[in-house]
Amino acid sequence: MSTILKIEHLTKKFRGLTAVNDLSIEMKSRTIHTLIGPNGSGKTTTINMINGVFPPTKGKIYFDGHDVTDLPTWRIARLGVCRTFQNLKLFNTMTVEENLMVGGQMTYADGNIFSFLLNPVKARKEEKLLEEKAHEAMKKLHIEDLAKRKTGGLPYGKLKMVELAKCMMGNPKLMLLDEPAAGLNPSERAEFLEILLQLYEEGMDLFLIEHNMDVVMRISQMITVINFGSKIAEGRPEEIQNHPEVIQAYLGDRYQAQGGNKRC
Amino acid sequence: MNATLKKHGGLVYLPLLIAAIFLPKFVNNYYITMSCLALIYMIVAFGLNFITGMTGQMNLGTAGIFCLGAYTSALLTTRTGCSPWLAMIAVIAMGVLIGFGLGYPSLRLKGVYLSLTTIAFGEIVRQLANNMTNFTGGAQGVRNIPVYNLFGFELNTKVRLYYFLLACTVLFGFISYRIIKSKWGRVFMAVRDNIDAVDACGISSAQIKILAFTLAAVFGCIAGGLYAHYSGYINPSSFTLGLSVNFVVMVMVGGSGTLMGPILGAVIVSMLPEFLRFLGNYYQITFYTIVLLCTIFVPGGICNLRIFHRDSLRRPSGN
Repeated sequence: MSTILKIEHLTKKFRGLTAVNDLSIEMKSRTIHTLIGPNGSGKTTTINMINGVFPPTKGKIYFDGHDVTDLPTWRIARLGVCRTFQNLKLFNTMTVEENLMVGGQMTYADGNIFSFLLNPVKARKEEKLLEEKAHEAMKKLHIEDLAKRKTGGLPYGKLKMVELAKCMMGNPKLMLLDEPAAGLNPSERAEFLEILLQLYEEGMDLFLIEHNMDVVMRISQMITVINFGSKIAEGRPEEIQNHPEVIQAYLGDRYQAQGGNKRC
Repeated sequence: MNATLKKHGGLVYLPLLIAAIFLPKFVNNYYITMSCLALIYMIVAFGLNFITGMTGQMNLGTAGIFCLGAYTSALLTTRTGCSPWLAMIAVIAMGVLIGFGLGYPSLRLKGVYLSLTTIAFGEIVRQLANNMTNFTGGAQGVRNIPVYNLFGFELNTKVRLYYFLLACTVLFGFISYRIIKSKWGRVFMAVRDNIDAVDACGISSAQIKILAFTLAAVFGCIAGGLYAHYSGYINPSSFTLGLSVNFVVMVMVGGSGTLMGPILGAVIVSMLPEFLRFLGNYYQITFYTIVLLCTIFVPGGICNLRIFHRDSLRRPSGN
C-alpha cells in the first residue's frame, strides 16, 4: 500500500504556545484515518497546516509524493486535497447550486478570462457541465430539492451536507473533514456516516477529526491520538480502545474492552 | 434569483434600450448632455461593480482611474496627434497597468486600510495632474481634445455622441452581463461571502481580487478616455474624491451583483441632482438624504429589493 499523506516532525508554535509538537503521521492510501484528542490538543491546527492555511514552524508535509509544506491552500486543493470546515464556510448570499458550482470550478471549468470572453460556446458548455455535476452531487447527498435555496437560512444539518457536497465537487483524492458529525442529531449522523462510507468506496481517502466516539470507532481503520500537540498513540480502533494512556487522557474507563457505544 | 428571470434575464434590458434609442427625439440638448455623462458613468459603475459590488473590496480611488484614462487619451491625441482610436489601446493598457500595479500590493489589505490606499491613489493622481504643469497642463487642463471619427463620420454633435456612447455602453454592459452571470461572477461573490472557502476550493482568492480590480480599472480607464473626447476639455478639478464616492453610491444604491444596479445607480446619481435643482440651495442636502435613506432601508440596493425576487430568500449583501 502506498502512502497518500505523510507528515514528518511537524511543529507549530504560536508565539510561546506550542500547538503541535513533533508530530509524525503516515496515512496509507485506501484508508479512513482519524485524528482524535481532547479539546485544544492541536487537531485543527494540524489540518490547517496540511491544507496550507498557515505554514508549520518546523517539519514537512507530503501529499501523494509532492512536498506541499509551503504551497498555498489553493494549489494544495488542486493537487487533490479538499477540506470541510468545523464552523462551516459557505457562500451565504448564493444558492446551494451556486455554492457547489464554485466548488467544482477548478475541476470542470478552468481557464482565463480572455478565453471566456472570446469563446461563448465553450463557456456555455462548461456552465452546463458544472450544473450537471452539481446536481449529481446533490442527488448523492439527498439535497437536490434545495438547489435553488440560498444557504443563509438553511438548517444546520443541511448546511453540513452542502459543505460536504462542495468539497466533493473538487473531485479530491483526499478529503480532510474537520468534525463532520458535530452538531448533527443521531439520524442525521447515521445518514452522514453512510455517505462518508460511500465516498470512501468510490475511491476518496478520508482524514477526519472527530469527537464522537461512535463515529470514530465505526468507520476508522486507523486512529492517531494526540494530546498537547504530541502523538500519544496510534493504531487500529481495538488497540486504541485498550490503550492505557488514551483512556487516561481522553476516552475514560467506559471505552475499555467493550468499546461502549452508548456515548453520543 | 428568479429562475425565469435568470433564463431570459437579457430581455429585461430591451425596453430600456428602446427608451434610450428614442430619448433624443423627446428631450432637448441639455438633457442629452446629461444622458451622455450618465452613460459614461455607467461604464465606470459596471467596472466598479466587479470589485466593490461583487468582490466586496472597497475602492474609493475610481476617480483616479477615470482621471488616468482621460489624461492618457487626451495627452496622446493632443501632443502626438494620434487618432483617438489608437489612444484607446494605450488607455486599455493603462487600465491593465493600474489593475496589476495597484491591485497587487493593495488587495492584500482589508477593510478600512484598503479604502485608505485607494483614496490615497486617487488623490495622488489628481495632485500629479494638477502639479506636473509642463506635462499635463496643470490646473488649466487639456484643451482641444479631438472627437472620435467613425469611418470619416465626425462625432461632433451631441446627438451623434450620444448614440456613440450608447453603443459603447451597450457593448460594455453586454460584457459585464456575461461576466456577472458566469463562473467569474460567482467566484467574485464567493470572495465577498467567504474568502477562506474560495482558496479551499482550489481558486486563488488573491488572483480573483486582482482580476476584479483589473476589470474595474480597464472599464474605468476606457470610460475616462470616452469622457475626454466627449467633453473636449479636461482639468484635474473634475476628478475629486467626491466623484469616487459618487461611483460607489451608484453601485450600492443601484444594487451590487447585477447589471441593472449600476444602470439605475448611474442614472439616479447623475440625473437626480438635476431634477432636484428647483430646491435651490437645498438640493445637495436632499440628494444625500435620499442616499442615506436608501442605505438604511434598501441596503442591498434598489435592484435587490424583495419585490423583484419574490421566491428567494435573498438577504442584503455585505452582511
